Amino acid sequence: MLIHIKFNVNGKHYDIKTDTNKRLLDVLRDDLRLTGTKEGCSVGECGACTVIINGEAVNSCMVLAGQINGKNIITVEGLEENGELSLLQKNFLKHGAVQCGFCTPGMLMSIKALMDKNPNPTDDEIKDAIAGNLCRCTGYKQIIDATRETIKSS
Amino acid sequence: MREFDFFQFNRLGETLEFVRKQKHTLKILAGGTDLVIELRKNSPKLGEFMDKVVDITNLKELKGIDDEGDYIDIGACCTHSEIAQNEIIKKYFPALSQACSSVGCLQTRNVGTIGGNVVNASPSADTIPALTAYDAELLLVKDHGEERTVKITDFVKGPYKTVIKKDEILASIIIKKTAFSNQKSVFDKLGRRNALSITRISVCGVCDIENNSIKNIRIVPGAVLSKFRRITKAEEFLNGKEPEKEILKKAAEIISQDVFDEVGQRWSTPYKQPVLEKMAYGALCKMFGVNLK
Repeated sequence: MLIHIKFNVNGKHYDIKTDTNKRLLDVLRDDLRLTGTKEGCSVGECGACTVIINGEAVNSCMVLAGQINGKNIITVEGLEENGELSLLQKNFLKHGAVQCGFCTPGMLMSIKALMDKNPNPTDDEIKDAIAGNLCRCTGYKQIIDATRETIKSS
Repeated sequence: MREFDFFQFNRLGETLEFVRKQKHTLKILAGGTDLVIELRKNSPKLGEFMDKVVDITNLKELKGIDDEGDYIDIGACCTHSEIAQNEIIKKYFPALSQACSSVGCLQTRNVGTIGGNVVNASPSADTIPALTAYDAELLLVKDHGEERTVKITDFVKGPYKTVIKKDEILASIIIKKTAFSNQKSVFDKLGRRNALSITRISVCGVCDIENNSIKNIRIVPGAVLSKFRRITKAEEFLNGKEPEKEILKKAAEIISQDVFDEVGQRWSTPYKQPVLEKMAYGALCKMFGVNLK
């Protein structure tokens, strides 16, 4: 069954018809071809599909297409600044916070949501913000280091 | 994924009218962190004829936390994040604030709602022990302005079973302010890891302290009983006593014994009984700031 939805992704307005039983994750990846957002566990336990909806970090595998009507969404594709990686992304590379890379888009979005609200978070606040994002490679330290450096220089 | 039609209305009234007409074929979505997973699995729990989803998450009538003098009114579609951060809730119902901040992970708390958590009635729901400790009441509404209030302990009949009728929507949660002069509270949970995990065992405690004695204590465990309830045996034992280590240890034994007298021996009992006792002891120590060791 089809649904007509209007929403905004990374500053661009979309007006589409899609299946009612698609999740936001499917709308992003299949309808909009924004494949930066990854599907991990599909049940809200890994955070790989994290995007920002109206300022809040959300798992896009737990949101139906109809729920995003009228909402503003930011995905990992929206992080670049003037055609370059954002400072946070550059620091991820510098600190080795990207290894296999599958958790990276979700991790970046959780940290961006945190820093948009709280530009100077403590380590505990960083850990709480990414507690819902699993990374099996880095052991998290490099991710926290990259975040800390971004906080210092922004 | 289940096939369904998706509906959103601007007003609660329109929603209730639609729900009355379609009641046997629809599911209410309030946040959706459980429902979307069930839809994707095409779970038999949804029922064979379910082919409509009604999203009530954004209805203004179901949002907001209001201080009404004698009581606090929590809109059913407040998210766990909103409740955890709310100053009124922190002041009057700190155990509820702690329970909401320990639900899943931030991404789940930003979307999941207290109403969804209550009506889903999972035995491991984190908000229900706190609502039971504070004697919360639920306002259920239906079309033509009909409404009723039900106590939280009467609302949940068992795992995933409640008394809500198919044409009713949970509109708000009402909690009377208790006259605590020096409230102590705790919500502790055991999961397989900190974030995201489904609660295996939780302990919620609320009480007052007067002249260094425990008064008006309520203790509610989560995820271990088929119906949420207070452990009155342990409460009676603790009221009037000073919170000392040996007393708290004895109370923890009573809590664990009372729970397992009810549920009987199961394959998990050799693990859960001592764990519940230790957890209850730890939670009581935390509540009163007593050094555990």
